[in-house]
Amino acid sequence: MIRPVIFITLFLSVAAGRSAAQSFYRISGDYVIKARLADTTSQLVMGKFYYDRNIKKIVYINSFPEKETWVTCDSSLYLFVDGELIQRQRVPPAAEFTIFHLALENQLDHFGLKNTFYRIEKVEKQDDLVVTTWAPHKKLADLFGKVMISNKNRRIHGIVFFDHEGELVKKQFFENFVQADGLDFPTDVVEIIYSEGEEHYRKTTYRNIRVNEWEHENIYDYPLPVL
Amino acid sequence: MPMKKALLFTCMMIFLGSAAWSQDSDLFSYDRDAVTTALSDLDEAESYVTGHPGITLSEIRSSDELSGTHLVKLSPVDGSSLAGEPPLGIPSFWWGCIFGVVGIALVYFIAEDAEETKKALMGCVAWTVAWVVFYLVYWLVVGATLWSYY
Repeated sequence: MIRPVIFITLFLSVAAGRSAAQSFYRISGDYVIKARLADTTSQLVMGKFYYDRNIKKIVYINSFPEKETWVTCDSSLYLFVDGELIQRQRVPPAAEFTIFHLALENQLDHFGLKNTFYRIEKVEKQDDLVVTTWAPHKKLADLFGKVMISNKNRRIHGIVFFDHEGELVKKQFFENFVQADGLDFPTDVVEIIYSEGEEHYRKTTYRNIRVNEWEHENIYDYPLPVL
Repeated sequence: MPMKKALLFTCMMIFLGSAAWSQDSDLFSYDRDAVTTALSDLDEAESYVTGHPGITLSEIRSSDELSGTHLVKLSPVDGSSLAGEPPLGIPSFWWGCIFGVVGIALVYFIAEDAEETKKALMGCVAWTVAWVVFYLVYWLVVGATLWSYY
């Protein structure tokens, strides 16, 4: 009698382990960025993106405005043209806070704020939205502002960023979710940036989302020079 | 008289409450028409680029045919725009936002709060102990089952 119980327990634990191992780890797709910026310039960027949450390199292969490949890894941003390294610069190491990583980790609903120096200050229901207000650790309140996140039907709806003085800095909205092989992903991200009393807009559209693909190994782990 | 004051107070609270409510609700909405209008030129540019696969901004700028169109006014991509303000979803304010052991160090050095540091350390230890216990029990059960077959 005891053996079947042990077998069932083992089977379930192994199945649970396999299920965790088979979770989402790669995402790729096409993207289009349209931006009207503060200095009245406008940008159109089109290309493909690739991200593997274990490798943590974000690879953007742009077809417009120029044929370029941008790769972020740790605190570096690399620019390649025709496979040749043109430029390397230091950037914030923020791969884990990109929409790609957060979607794969199923953390978009709190934008990765859990386990950071942000704490939940307030949760309230507003019509069909659940709004959570996150405040930075008190010792960092002079540097960072509050962040408000709204969820609708357990999906992220919008984020509102404030600076440390409480001024509205940016709003970000996540729209038109699709199910790509079981992964929930917003195909439109609209940003409204507030600067000197004016609003500026940026819209990113994602298409042809692919999840956990086996191809393009050399792109997901784009070879970077040892510096 | 006290009744009137209570009524006035209640009305005021309802008014202030609804004002605060509408202010918060407004935070999670935006003027879709304004965004559509502001980006309409870029919609046209996207259509043009999609209709001319492989075309680049350099080629557009060197084309006599396209001089004078809004296409030539497009800006090139620069690294700071990619990595700073987040066109690709990278929030620049995330400098120094780190986890695990380094997170404990962050709490220690920045917060200078012994109690907070202790909590962070205890959390890290508890998580590690839980995983060690889980794996010990798991492999003990596996071992016992296999042993019973031999």
